[in-house]
Amino acid sequence: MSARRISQLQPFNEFRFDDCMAYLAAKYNHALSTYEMMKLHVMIDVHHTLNNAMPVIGGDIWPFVNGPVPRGAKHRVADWIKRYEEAGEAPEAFEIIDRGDRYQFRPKQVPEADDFSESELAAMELAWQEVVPPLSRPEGFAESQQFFHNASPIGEAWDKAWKRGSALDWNEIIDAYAVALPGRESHHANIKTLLRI
Amino acid sequence: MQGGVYHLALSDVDEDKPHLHLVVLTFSGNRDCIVVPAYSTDGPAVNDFIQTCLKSGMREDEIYARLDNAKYLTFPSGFPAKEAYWCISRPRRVAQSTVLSGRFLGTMKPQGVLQIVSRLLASLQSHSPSLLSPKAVKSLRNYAKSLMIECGVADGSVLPPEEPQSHGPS
Repeated sequence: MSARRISQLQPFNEFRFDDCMAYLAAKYNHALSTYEMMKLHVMIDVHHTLNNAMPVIGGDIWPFVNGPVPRGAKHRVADWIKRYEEAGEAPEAFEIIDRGDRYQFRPKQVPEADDFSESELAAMELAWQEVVPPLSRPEGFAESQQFFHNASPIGEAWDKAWKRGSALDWNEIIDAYAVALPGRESHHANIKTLLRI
Repeated sequence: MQGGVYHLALSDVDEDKPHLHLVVLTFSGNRDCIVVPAYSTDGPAVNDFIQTCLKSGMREDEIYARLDNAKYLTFPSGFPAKEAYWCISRPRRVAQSTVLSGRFLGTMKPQGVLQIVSRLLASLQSHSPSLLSPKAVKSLRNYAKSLMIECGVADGSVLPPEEPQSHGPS
């Protein structure tokens, strides 16, 4: 049976986005770029949904040239940058570091581990390891682009959405991971049923 | 806002058909809140969902609280009051502004909220790893205790025993 496409499991929660980014940036003492924040958001929601059938942050994910991008988060960070460039205003929770070629964001307010569930912390950790350390390697950005375009299940879901010209479909994301992670077929089938509520 | 019932479509799977959502917890600073969705007991999707949960080993009381909504909520005229599954196994954390953008239907009676919140707390304890943060669970517990006082329910008769919450060594 062909399932109806699902682009949004719940609306974008900007507070959770800020919390997740601030927590990870502080934990690893690493000011985040816009690219890193977008990809962290995607992978946090992917890992949490694969295990719990619900995202942490929410919102829909679109196929941009640089890979999957959560639209709500992109608008939020673009608004931070616009306010900073036009009026010198920093966002409430982050300090903006202007490196000339790009901006980085360092948290001013950091949530505690107790502000997250165990499942959320686990998803955040998986996302961090997949997104940020590889970018510090010499060919890191090119490798990250490969990962998000075709060399991973999320890249496969991006590719389908890109060709279709619409938001990524959570059914396709889960199907791609089910193929990549054999032996968990019944778990992934259950997750797809749970998504429908 | 806590105890309020709103008519919301949060996910694409709702096909723009809003459902009832009960606000069970609000976070300070007007930021976000936790809602529990309700579905008519005759809906095919919710019944598939329940069967899947049962097959995965969950008990019915960990999946939903079944309420006759007419007993616990005074609906606006013309709005059908149905028997519903309040899906405590699917709590969602969303911005308060998202909830406020939906239609406010009324405030649920504390007896109804208590049934849902106490079941939610029990469901959270049985789910590993926990889906809600230790701080959220603690606040929910405090809310449940205040509802018990309001409803004249004896302490310990409704809530599951308190468990220490820990993320382990950091």
